[in-house]
Amino acid sequence: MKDKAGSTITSKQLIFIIVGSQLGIRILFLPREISKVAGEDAWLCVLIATIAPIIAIYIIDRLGKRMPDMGYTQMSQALFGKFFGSLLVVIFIGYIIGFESLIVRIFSEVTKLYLLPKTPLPVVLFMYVFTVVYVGNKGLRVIGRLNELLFYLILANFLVLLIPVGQGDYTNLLPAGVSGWDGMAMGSLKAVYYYAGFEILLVLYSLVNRKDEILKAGMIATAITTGLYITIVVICELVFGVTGMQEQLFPALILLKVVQIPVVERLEFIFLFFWLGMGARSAINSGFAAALSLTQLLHVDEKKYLLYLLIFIGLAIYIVALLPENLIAVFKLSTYAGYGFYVVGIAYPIIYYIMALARGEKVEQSA
Amino acid sequence: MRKMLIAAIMIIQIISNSGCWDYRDINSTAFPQLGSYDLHEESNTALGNLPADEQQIDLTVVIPTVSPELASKFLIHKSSGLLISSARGQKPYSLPGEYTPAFASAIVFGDALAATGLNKVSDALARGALNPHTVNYSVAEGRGENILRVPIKDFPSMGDYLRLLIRSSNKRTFIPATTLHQFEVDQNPGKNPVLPLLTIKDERVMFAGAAIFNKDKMIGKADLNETQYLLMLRGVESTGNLPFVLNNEGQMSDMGSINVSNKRKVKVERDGDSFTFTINISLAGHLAEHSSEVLFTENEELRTEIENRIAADVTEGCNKFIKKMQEQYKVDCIDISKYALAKWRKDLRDKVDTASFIENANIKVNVKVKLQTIGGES
Repeated sequence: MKDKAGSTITSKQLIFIIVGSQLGIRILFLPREISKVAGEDAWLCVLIATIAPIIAIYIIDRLGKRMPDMGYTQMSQALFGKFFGSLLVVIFIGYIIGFESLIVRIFSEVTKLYLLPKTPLPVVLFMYVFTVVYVGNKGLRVIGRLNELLFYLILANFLVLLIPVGQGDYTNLLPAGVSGWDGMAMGSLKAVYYYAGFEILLVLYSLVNRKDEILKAGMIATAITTGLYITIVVICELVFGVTGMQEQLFPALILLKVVQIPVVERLEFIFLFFWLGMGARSAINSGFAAALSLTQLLHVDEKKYLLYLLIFIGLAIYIVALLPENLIAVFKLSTYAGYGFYVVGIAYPIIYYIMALARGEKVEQSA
Repeated sequence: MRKMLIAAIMIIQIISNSGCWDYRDINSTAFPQLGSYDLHEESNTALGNLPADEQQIDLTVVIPTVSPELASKFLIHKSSGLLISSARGQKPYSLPGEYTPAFASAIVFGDALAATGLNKVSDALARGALNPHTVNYSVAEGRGENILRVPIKDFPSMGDYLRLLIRSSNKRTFIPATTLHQFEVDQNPGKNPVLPLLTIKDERVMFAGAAIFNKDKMIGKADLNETQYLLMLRGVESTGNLPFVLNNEGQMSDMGSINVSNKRKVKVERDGDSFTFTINISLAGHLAEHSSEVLFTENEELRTEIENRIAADVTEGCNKFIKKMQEQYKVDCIDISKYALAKWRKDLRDKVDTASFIENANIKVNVKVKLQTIGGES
């Protein structure tokens, strides 16, 4: 087994990395975005949308099994030739930079809004990007462990989100299917975007030490993310109702402002305190994947140059994150990031797999 | 080289420590405890170039004083503006220190302002990221400011008094306790908020009933008696005291009161455009007192008699309130339309908040009273 970028990971760590890449800041506004389209059926759409990541992970696994020890860049070049393969990798890296810069920007905006109102945005952004570079430099095994640790914190944080359920109204969820086929289809299509993050498996596949467990790990990760997403959408629907939710920019966070617990008083600050780690996590995972792909693309020594390429990726994320004028512009841009995900997260694995099938033994031999 | 690079980044990180920007001295910060929002009465602030015909808002707040050496434990400060944040913006002209409204626990709206709609003034509280959504809302008979200015002797400030009076009032009596969050979600389709109504009597601030809203506009007031039926019909789980008088052959045979908690279940049926709601109210509690010498151990029917009497009284009160709601308020203030929406949301989405929906609804009430204990005496 090759030991790239300092380490390999176990399938268990892969679960936490995939969950960590999917579950971040987006959960704070996911209920509003989906319910805007699908109304009371938002939770159902989140469930239906799971089909997309399940199929994509299955295809990535089939693809990986054909070329188990090939890195993502090598695989791309083997399937599509040096030029087109490299182009696909560059698009992948560009997508990660664009996507993660939006994630980091939204997280910085939330941090600024709720915790550090007077701290300049570039300073808050810098905190996150520095974390991305620093942790990424420690290698994949550390990233895996960090994701595992933060996953348990996230579970504890989710228990806090259950507190406002007592204020909920079950009639807000009824009747099921009211949005009709159109609404559910649109809602599901939109919900697919919230599963973005699993595409990191394209890069990490060759770094997992038990290939036979990857599919199972991917499915477990998707199940965990789905479970947590549905829970949060249902709670928001119960507590705010679909109409009420549209008035909240971050309904999942506002949930914690509607209850008052003696002594603790302001739950949202405690939630955010833990959640800050979660925000950087997705960028850490994807930033590392991008930097690793870049080392392979440039044919440079991973151990020697990973840090510099991480700094380059971090700097790119930092600059792109500063570009949107305000949060509304960021939300608009995230629609385009969603389209990017449909290309990289859904279309890439399909195209790669079709190409692998078409090229058959030829590619397997070169692997 | 790598270590140097990491060290350089860490130094930048430490120098730009985010806490530096958000530092503030707690001693020079004004934390209002209680606020009142009223239509503007008089202008004495620097309001700049506001449109002359625009109705302004008065914001009055109670701010506890920090220093124990001061004779007064709090100060009352008033400013005016186009809306609430604009009124807050006037405070630096006459109030030293940084004004931080994130700790206010109660807001009192003047009834004239409430009648014009509260969403416009509530926005500053809901939008402010640092404000909790648990701040309690109430409406004053007259100006809210007057409530804040009532002299208070038994409590450190009116803020402390009102916080205890309004918060969880439904746990002590049949008065709604409505937070900013509740006020917002009660404007969802098929719903309307109710707020506690405050008045000044004998130089004391006390409850006068409930303010009835059509979405964010106050449209009526219910007195204390009506409010208890409103809460039972609305399904706001409350605990309170209900009196009873028993008559036997035209003469009073017993009287007393029970302490009860209420629960509600609603069934809805549809026949075309006609909707029938059946509200089942159950009251469970214990006998607090009764006047006659009759022993419950000797007269087993007495308990049932009391239960039936109270059930009849509550049914009558509820039916009267429903009639008033359908004929006068013409909005669903008892929160039953949501059950119809839960079944036929697609059909009712545009109709549920029209006056005709609740006006034409057939609403039946069944009340069951269960005296679980009779206390320590027979």
